[in-house]
Amino acid sequence: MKISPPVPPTATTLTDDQMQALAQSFHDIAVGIGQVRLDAITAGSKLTDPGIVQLQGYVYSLMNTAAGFALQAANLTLTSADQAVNQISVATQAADHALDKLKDIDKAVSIASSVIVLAMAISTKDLDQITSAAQSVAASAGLAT
Amino acid sequence: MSSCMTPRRLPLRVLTAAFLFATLNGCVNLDDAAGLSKLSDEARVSLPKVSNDVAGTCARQNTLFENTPPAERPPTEQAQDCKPYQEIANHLAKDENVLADYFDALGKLSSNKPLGYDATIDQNVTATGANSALAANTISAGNDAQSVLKSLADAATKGYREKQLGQLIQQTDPAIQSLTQSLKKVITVDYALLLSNEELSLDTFYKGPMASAQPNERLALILVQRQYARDKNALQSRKDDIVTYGKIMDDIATLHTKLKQEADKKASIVEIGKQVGPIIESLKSALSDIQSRSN
Repeated sequence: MKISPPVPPTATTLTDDQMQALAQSFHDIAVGIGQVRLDAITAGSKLTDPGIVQLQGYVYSLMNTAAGFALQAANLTLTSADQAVNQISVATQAADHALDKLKDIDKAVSIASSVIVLAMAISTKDLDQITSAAQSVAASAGLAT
Repeated sequence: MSSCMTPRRLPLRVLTAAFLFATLNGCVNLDDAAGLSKLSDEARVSLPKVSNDVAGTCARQNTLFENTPPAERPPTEQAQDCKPYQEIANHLAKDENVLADYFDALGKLSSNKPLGYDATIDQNVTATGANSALAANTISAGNDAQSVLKSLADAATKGYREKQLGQLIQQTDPAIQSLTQSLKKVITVDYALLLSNEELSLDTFYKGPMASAQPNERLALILVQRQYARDKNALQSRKDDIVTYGKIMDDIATLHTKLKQEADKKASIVEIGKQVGPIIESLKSALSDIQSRSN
C-alpha cells in the first residue's frame, strides 16, 4: 500500500486587515509602556533612571514595529497564518491588559522585551519561533500557558 | 466670435441668460456644468498636502527623537529611516495625480478638446511600478492608477472625442472605485496609525520633562506647556485632514458612479450637471478645507 507523504501546511500571506490589527496591537502596547514610564516619572523616577531609559527605548522600538507592519510589510507570508495571527493576538492582548495601571517598572520592561522578541520572531516567518515568543509574552504578562 | 464664449464680469442676469442661450445651442459641456477641470486643479494642490505628510510625520518624530537628551534614551536606539516613507508619499502623490489627470481628461473630452497625454502617461506608468515592499493598499492604489492611465492612453491614442466620453467612464469605473478606496485606506488607516505614533512621540517628549519639572522652573514649564499645546493642535489639524481626505475619496467615487449612471442613460448635460452638482460642491468644500488648514 502506498502511503502519501504528509501535506505541509500552506503558507498564506496575511491580509491587509490582519496586518493592520498587528500594527495596532504593537502601537497599543507602545502606548501602555509609555504610560507606565510616565506614571513612574510622575511618582518620582528620574528621566535618566536606567528602567525609565529602557522603557523609552521600548516605546520607540514598538512604534517602529507598528509603523513597519502598517506601511511596508505587504509580503508577510506565514505558514498556518491564521494560527500564527491568533497566537500573536492572544499574546499581545494579554500584554496590553497587563500593562494597564501597572506600577512595576521591571515587570513592564519584562513584558516590553518579550513583545520585541515576538516582533522579531514574526519577521523570521517561522511558526515555531512565533509560537515560542507568543508564549513568552503571555507568560511575562501573567497569562497561564 | 463663437456664441459659446462666456462673458466675464457681467451682471448675474446677463450671465444666466448667456448660459441658458449656450445650453439651448448645445454649447455647454460637462466641464462647464460640473467644473471637472477646475476640480482636478484643486485636487492636484490639496490631496498631496495630506499624503506628503506620510514622510512629514516621520521627519517630525525624528526631530523629537534627536531633541531628546542622549542620557534619556538607550544608546542603541536610532532615528527612523524616513526614506521608505518618502517613497510611499511619492507613490501616493503619483496616484492622486492620475486621479486629477483623469478628471481633467473628462473635462477636456466633454468640451471636445484633444487629450494630448501620451508623454505624461508613459512616464507615469513606468514610475508607478509595483513595489512588493509596500503595504497592500499602496500597491493596490498603484495598480488601479496604472489601469486608469492605460485607459487614458488608449483614449488619447484612439483620438477619443466627446461621443466616447461615456465609453471611457464605463470602462474606467472599476479602477476609479478601487483607486479611491485604496487611497482612502492608506490615509485613513495606515497614515492614521503613523499619526497616532507621532502623538505618542509628542506625549513622551513633553509629558516626562513636564512631570519632572522643579518648582523653580515655573516659567520654563509654562513655555513648554504652550509649545506642547501648539504641537497637539497641529497634530489634530492633520487628523482632521485624514477625515476630510476620506470624505473626498468617497465623494469622487460617488461622482464617478453618478457620471456612469448618467452616461448609461445617455442623459443630457443639463441633467448630468443637476445630478453631480451637490457632489461637486461637497468636493470643492472639502478640498478647500484641507487648503485652509495648511495655511
